Amino acid sequence: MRLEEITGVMLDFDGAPVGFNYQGKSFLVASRPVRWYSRRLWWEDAAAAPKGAGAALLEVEMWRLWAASGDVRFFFELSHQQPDDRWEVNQLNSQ
Amino acid sequence: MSFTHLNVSSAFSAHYGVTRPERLAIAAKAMGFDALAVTDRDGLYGAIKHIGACVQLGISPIIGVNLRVVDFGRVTILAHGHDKGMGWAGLCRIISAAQTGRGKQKNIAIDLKTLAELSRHCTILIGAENIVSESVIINPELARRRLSELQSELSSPGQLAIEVVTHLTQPGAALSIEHARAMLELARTSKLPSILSNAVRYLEPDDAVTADVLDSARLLEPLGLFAPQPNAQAWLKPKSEMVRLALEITEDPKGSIELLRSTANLADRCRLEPESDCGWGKPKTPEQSALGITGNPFEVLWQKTHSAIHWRYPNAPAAKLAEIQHRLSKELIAVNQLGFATYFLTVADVAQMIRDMSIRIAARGSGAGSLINYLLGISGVDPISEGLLFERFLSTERSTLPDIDIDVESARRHDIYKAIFRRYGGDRVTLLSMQSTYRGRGAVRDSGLALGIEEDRIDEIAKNIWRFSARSFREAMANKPELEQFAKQSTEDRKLNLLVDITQRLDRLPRHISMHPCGVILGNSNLLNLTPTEPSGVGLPMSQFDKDDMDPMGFLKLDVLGVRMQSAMAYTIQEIARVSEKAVDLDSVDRADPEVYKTIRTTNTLGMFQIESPGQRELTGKHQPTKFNDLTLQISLFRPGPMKGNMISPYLDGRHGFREPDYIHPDLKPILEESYGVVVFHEQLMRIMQVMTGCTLARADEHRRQLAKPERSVKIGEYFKKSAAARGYSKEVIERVWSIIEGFGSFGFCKAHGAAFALPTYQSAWLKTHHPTEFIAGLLTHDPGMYPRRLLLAEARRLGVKLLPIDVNYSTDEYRVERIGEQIGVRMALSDIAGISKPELERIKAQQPFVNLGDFYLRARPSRRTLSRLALIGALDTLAKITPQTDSNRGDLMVRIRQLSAKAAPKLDLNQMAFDFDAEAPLGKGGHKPSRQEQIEQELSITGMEISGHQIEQFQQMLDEMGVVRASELISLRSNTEVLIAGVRIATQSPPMRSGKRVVFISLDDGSGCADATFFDESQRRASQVLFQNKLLLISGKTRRTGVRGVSVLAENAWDLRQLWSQWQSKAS
Repeated sequence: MRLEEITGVMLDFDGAPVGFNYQGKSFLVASRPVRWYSRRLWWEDAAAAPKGAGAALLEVEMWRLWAASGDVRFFFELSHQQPDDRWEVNQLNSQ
Repeated sequence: MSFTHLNVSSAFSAHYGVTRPERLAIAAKAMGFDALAVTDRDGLYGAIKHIGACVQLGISPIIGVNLRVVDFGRVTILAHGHDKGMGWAGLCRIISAAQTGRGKQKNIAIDLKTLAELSRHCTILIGAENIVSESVIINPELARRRLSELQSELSSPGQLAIEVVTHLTQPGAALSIEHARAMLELARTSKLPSILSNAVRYLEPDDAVTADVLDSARLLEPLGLFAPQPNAQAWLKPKSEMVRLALEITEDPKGSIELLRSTANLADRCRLEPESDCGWGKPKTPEQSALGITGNPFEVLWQKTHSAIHWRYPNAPAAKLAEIQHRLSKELIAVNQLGFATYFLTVADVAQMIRDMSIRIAARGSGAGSLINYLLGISGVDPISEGLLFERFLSTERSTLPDIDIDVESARRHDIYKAIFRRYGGDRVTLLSMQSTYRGRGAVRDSGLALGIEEDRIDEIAKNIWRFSARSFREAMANKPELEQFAKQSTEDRKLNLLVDITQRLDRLPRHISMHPCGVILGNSNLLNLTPTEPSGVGLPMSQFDKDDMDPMGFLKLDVLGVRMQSAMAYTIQEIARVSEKAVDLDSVDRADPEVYKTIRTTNTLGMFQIESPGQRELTGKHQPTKFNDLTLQISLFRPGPMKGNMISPYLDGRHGFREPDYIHPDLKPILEESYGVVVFHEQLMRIMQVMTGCTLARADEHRRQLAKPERSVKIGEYFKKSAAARGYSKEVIERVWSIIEGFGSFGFCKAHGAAFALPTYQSAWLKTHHPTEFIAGLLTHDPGMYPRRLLLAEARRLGVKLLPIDVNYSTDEYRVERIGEQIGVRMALSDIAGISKPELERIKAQQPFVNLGDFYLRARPSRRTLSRLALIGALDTLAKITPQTDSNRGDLMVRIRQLSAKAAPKLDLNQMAFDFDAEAPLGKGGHKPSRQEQIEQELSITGMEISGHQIEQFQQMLDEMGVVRASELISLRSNTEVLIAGVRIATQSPPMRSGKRVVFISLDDGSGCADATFFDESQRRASQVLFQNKLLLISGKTRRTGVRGVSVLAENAWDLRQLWSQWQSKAS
């Protein structure tokens, strides 16, 4: 598994990604993205967990989608990290 | 179309749900829902609170339960509504049945057959935690088969529905969209209705962190060692989110509307009408037949009370009789008006039953203010002579059943419960339960477990959590000296910091249910259709509802509180009768015995009910009571309210003549004379209102109750001033009286309550005065007070009560009084020997007396450990013929013990001594003879008491060198003398103070008596490391005289005595 950051993520009204930059190339989403929610083991690294810290302490938004850049087409699983709004590639498969 | 959440666990799903039902209902209302279900795990623990909140908010309550079905898994069962309670009754019966067979492992489950029988008016939701749901993705055919097996058992149509739920987990996993879709498909092919839910565990996503910690507490595993919840989606989602989920699952607008419609249909079917479905608010009492009454209950009550007048008031003069008649008529009219006659008869019936069992009984609380209760024998205090008001107890202005609380002997409490069940039948009676909630220490412990912090470390932290809620942990860290060190560590240690946060999250969440210490619910034969029950610790069923649920459900709750003092007194009387053949009728002894008050005034009140605490002892010294009403006053004054309200000093000043009592107006003098112008009692306030405004006492009590609410208080002020002015009181008088009334709200005390308490206070003081030996035996046997037994021994020595050592030929499981010639003494019991088992105890008791050691070993069959412990504390001295005159000693005895127990005890055969050595030969000589100090250490470690002397003796040399003062000598010192005191900590108290600042009282015992030390801010900081921790302390400070017999030490610092001792020893050597 490679944990690499992606940048320039564009979202639709539902918060689903439509395009992003990865390894210097810009990708466009080419399937209906599937959203799911994973979790974090907050007790392993969080410094605090006060009431109202928010779901971000525990939950991670995940997306599964196909995206293409020119002739290259990949299946991505992206994680959307909060609270710093960071996107990471969680899984990557080529066709 | 509306949406309704049909699967919601509230915080009353202990260690699972996070949000209290009231909060869920408020949020649901705010989100625009017009109904909400609560479906707690294994019971209706949160149901009544949920219904109450829904009624108040104007939304429909729906109630269900999440229950395990044998060989199937969890389902959610919803009661149908608007069917005259049939759905509700079915739900209650299903839960009771599932709980009854739960066994030791608390394996709560219902078998399918019983479920089918009882669920005709319920709907069973097949959700995500059972064998159907488990297999539905991988093997839909298997899932269908399993479902149809279930279907074939449940006959009525509409009994089953498929619950479609997704938490948007990883595609293909449990609770994923695919999973929900498969369940929906299963419903379609099985021709079952399907409904959408979110299997809610908490109100907001943020609460998911708390849910993690609760999972850890439930599974008793630290976080990380079990599979955690998949994400934070189990929250109470708004309708818009639920509609979106429906669309995502069905991928079809039409299909989603169908799913939402069938959800709405089921919700409609399950909306409860609290009055007709649950019997909401209607008082329920046993049927007349169950009470053995024929005819009109009011007439029976009239008859019973009138015929008791001659019993309670023998030879009363005509004028007195007229007063009694008048009072009784007034009370009876009120009772009749409220329709409570059956209630009083029920309580009287129970009281009579208890007396018939020869068990001591006393009333507690405002019930003592009622003449009816006095005449029915429920209370033992004469309300007329003590100036108690009926209106404080029962008012025609309110319609809830009043509380009548009774105290009984604690040791017989369970016998009474069983007798109540027998008398009224198991279908009319159940015990009350209570929910214990997370407080500071428990919350820290479970949070520590969740984070995997070592137990010792957590223990250390928990020990310093003292009198504050988990919620204010962080705040406390900032201002409590004993937490200073921890606060510093938590800034460096991430886990400790997390610990604080999650501890705060757990605050006040329900933790577990247990039997209420005194509540019994008495209803009619429909009771078990209205409340689910589960087994309690004593083998009798208990309701899943707690005391706050009683009024809404209209249940009659009887408080039968076991009071150890009543047991101690009963035991004392029994011992007096056994040893001295004297019958003491404690309830009719003279309540003005000067000897008794003289004993009290010495402040040696240890063992006296309600007045033995360090604070009460100090107050006794200042107050110097001389009559029964003084005891009532003293008990009422030593409360947080009067202490905060600074009422004690003006009262004492008035009493001792340092100040002329100020009655403000001559009309108030008769009311306030007993307390020297200070308003102490609710009853006094009511009478002031009555005299100055002309209102009735009932009305005055209503006013009093409202004083606590500031906005109501203003209104009452206007009324008071206007009415009093109209009756001709001057503006100055009115203003002064009102300022007292206004501030009184939270300070005063119900006099009936004080008087009811004063009775056992006086009775215990009477026994201590006239029968000290038997009384000490009673205290030791039933341990009623706040102090450890070892302190009772110190008190016995002070009183000159003879203490007889533990001896296997004389000691039993009780502290028996023994006659030795002309004298009597208390024989120490075997029951406090550490590790002695019940069978061992019973064998010793049954086989006494023993002729020698071998005989004892063969017939009593003690374990090796018990045998050597008995030897070490001298319990075998008589058998081994060890006396101060003989050459053999306990060291020699231990040699013999080792010989005896080297092999397992031979089989009991009394004809044949099966030892291969001479067990009866005299002991050897020259073994190690334990010193007095060693003996005391052994006694302490084995029985928790020092029987031959005091443990402080071991430090005596150092203490003498340091000039430490003995507790008994403090009284002879001048005020403000610098002193050192030392001893064993016997009590730590931190009562609320007027200033709001914390004060800590520590009482030490050094064998000569008790010394009380007070720690204020500075000294708390200096002594922070030992304040709540160590048992043996040395305290420095200044003496402070507090009254004729009162003295305490204003502490400056405190040290651990053992630590000083080892320093002193190393210096000395």
